Parts: sequence; C-alpha cells; structure tokens
Amino acid sequence: MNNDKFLVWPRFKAYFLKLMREHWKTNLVRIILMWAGLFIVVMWTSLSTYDFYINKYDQTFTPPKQDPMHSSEELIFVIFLFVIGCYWASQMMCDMKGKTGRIFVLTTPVTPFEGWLSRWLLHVPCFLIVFLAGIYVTDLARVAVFAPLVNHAPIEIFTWKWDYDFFSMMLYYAVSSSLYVLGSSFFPKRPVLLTSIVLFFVSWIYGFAMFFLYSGLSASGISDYAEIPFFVEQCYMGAVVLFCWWLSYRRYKELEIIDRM
Amino acid sequence: MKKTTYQAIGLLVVTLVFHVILVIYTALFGKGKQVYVYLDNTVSTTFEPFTGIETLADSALLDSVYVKFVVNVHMSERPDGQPYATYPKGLVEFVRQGPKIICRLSADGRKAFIEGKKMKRSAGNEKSTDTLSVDVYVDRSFGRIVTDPKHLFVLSGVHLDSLSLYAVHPDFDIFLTDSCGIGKFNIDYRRRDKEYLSIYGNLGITGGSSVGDMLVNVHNDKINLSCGDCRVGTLYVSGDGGLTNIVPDKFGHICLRPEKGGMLSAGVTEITDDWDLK
Repeated sequence: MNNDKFLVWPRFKAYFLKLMREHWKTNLVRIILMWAGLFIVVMWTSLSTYDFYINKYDQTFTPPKQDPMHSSEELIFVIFLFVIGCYWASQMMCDMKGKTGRIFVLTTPVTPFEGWLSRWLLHVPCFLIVFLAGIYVTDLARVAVFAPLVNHAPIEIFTWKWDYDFFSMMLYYAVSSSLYVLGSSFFPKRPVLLTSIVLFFVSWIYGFAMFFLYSGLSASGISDYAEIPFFVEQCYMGAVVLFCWWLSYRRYKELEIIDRM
Repeated sequence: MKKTTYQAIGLLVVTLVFHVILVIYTALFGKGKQVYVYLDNTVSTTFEPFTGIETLADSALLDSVYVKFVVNVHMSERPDGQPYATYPKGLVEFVRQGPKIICRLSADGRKAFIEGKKMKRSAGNEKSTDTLSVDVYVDRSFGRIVTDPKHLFVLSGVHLDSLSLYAVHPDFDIFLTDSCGIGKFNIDYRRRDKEYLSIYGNLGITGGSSVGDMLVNVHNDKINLSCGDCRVGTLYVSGDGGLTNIVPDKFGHICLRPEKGGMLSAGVTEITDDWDLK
C-alpha cells in the first residue's frame, strides 16, 4: 500500500475519475446550461446584427471587411469566460459544505495534494476546455445558420488571435478565477457570495487607499505621473495566481470537521 | 485563526503595499514621464512683404491628436508696416517661397505630435490647449491664402483691396471679424469627387466686416455661410454645389451662375422684409 506519498499516479487517477463520476450529473447540467446560454445569446445578437445585412442592405453601403458579429461575439465570450469561470472555480470545494461531506473527504485515502489537484483540474483546466468547445460549437452553429442567409457580409468562424491582448485576458481570467478558488476553500458553504463580498470590500479599501495616495502626492506637488510599468504589474499578477493556488492547497490541507476560520 | 487565514490577509496587505510602492516609485523616479509642449512659449519672426500664405500643416496628424490649426491674420501694427508672425516655438515654422510664405509644422513639431506629447499652457493661462494658433501680421500687399483641410482662418481687422482664397478641401473654416474691409473677396474651392458631398465648410462674415464683391466658386461642396453684422456688395456664386444660410438683407445683389451642366443651390434665411423672386 502506498502510504503518505505526495502524488501516486494510479491513486490520483482513480480519485480523479471517482470525483468525475460522483459529480457528473451536476457538471452535465452546468455544461448544458452554459452551452445553451452561449447559444441563445449568440443567436439573438446575430439576428439583430445580421438583420441589417439581410433586410435593409442597399448597394450604396460598402460591405464590411470583417464579419460584423466578431466584435460582439468576442465581448460575449469574454463576459461568459469571466462570470462562469469564476462561478465554476468557486464550486471547487462544493462537496465540503456540511460536516458529512468533510468527514467523507477526510476519510478518503488520498494525499491532500492529490485531492486538491484533482479538484483544481476539474474546475480550472477542464472548465477552459469545455468552455472553448462550447464557443466553437456555438460559432459553428451561427455560421451554419447565417451563412446561407447573409450575402452582403463575410460570415467567418470566430478565432482568438494569439496576441498580447489574448494573453492579458487569460491572465485576468487566471487572477479572478484563482481568487474564487481561494474563496471556495475559505468559505466552502457559500463560496460565490462570501468571496464576492470580501472582494467588494477589499476593492473599496484599495480604491480609498489609492485616492488618498494620489491626493497626497498631488498635495506635495507631484502632478505628472509616469505610466505604471505594465510588465511589473503582470508579473505580480502571475505571482498572485500561483500564490492563491498554493494557499488554496494549504487551506485544503488544514481541513477540519468543524468549520473554523 | 488558522495559519492560512493570516496568509490570505497577508496577500491582501502585500498587494496594497506593492501598489502603493509602485505608484510612489513611478511618481518619483519613473521613466517616460509625460512631456508637455508649451503653447504660450511663442517667438516672432519678421518677413519682407509677401503676397500670400500657404498652410501645409499635416491635418491628418493634427486630427489624430484632436488639435485644430488656427491662423489669425491681422494688419501689421509696426510703424513701417513690416509683416511678422508670432507662433509657438519649435512647433511651427515659416518658409519663404518666392512671393509667398509657407506655414507648416516643423520637424520637431511633427515629432512631438507623433510621440503623442500633450500640449499645455503655463499656469494662469486659461486658453484652450486643443488649438495650435499662429498669428500672422500682414501689410496691404497681402492677398492670397492657400490652405489645407480642417484649418481655421480668422481675419480680424484686415483691410485689403483684394483677397483670394484657394481651399484644397471644403472642410475648412474662414471667419472675418473686427470690421474687416475687403474690396474683392474671391473664394475658390477645389474640384473634387462627389463622394465627399456631405462635408461642410464654414464661411463667416461677422463683426461689422464689409466686403465689396464676394465671388464664391464651389465644386460639389456645401458651404455654410454665417452672416453676422456685415455688409456685402454683390455675392456671385458659381460652379456646381451649394451655399446655405444666405441672409438676403446683408447683400446688395446675389448672382447665381451655375457652370455648364452643373447645378447650384442657395439656401436663404432670416428674411424680414418683402423679397420677390422671379
């Protein structure tokens, strides 16, 4: 028997599959709801966007070079990524809501790291895969429905550009989802609500601190600011992401039957 | 409390401290601080008498930084009547070319706008910072303006026998104020393609100015006339296009002369007396 080792592959795999099987109904409902939401929003927006090119188009307009839906689709996908990504991440410790659940988790013979890693895999990378699959399925459906109807605009499949903006967006997603991952291990009972409340108050404190800092600086005669080096900011964000994941693992290790702060 | 709770609070505190340090550091030692171009740092240059002025400021560049180029034309106040110009140092330059002078952005000025430097006036000067204005003081031999689009010419108190204006683009404004007196005012808008028909230029005669004969030659343009307190002897409109907001009371005669195969439109407004058209 493999006792008290950090990570043993067969045991980890078995635990991962067990978690998947135990929660497959909940996850299936979530996936279906997310895909249906994406589908409805994208189709609705496409209808109103393409309406102009189907019904009201006249030869005096120059045809657009790019699919007119791409910009709105990008916005829709980013909003879905952030909102649903944070919700999904916050459900990481959802089976530890009550005492029974915690006893069940504590008595399962896996190391804390295996337990944490399999949950993290299910709620962060697996979510991304499901989400990307969802947007491509939705987009294919949009192209299939509207390409025969719209003649005056190019209808193309939406693709993310692998550029700096995409990287920044994924970094912001990683930061916000890692904060919710951390929140879920601190408040397993009501992760979304309590994490959001804490983040709300923390952002107010930050806002006030920055306000007083800037007014103090301008009172002392400094009114020209250099731009804050964005690279340093992004490196810090990366560090915050890693720290949040590590801290969430530490918190998972400190799991007790009674819920204490 | 558990150890991780302290660590989480520590993360929040460290983030705050990190940002405070970052802001203070960049405020005190940061590179790439905003560099300003001071607009009221002006210089003067005198010229031998010239007959015309041509503005070649890069309007696309100025447009991209939301700056309007304004040329104020006055009569020279010097006893010998020598023409001169006052302009922001380092941004604008004047080049003599035969009988005319060319006013354009200098290499440093172009560089400043391309780099996105902000314009500023020194403390206490409340004038707007989105206009780049140049003052040109002319003598009576002056008589011709050639201009780029989107520039604004303001002629104040100028008395000339004749003035001809050649506008490359109708999206261009000229105003006569402060009791200008011009014998013959000839405005020629260059011929262009029909796709720009919706662009309007402004042509204003205000502030007690008077013009003897005013000849406006339009080509697919819509010119918006604004007649304040003014008096014009005869208005001739020729070419193919339109002139709107004509106040008939201010004009002695209005003659419309469309070019062959062209069509003119003239919009009149503020009719207070009986006025008969044929």
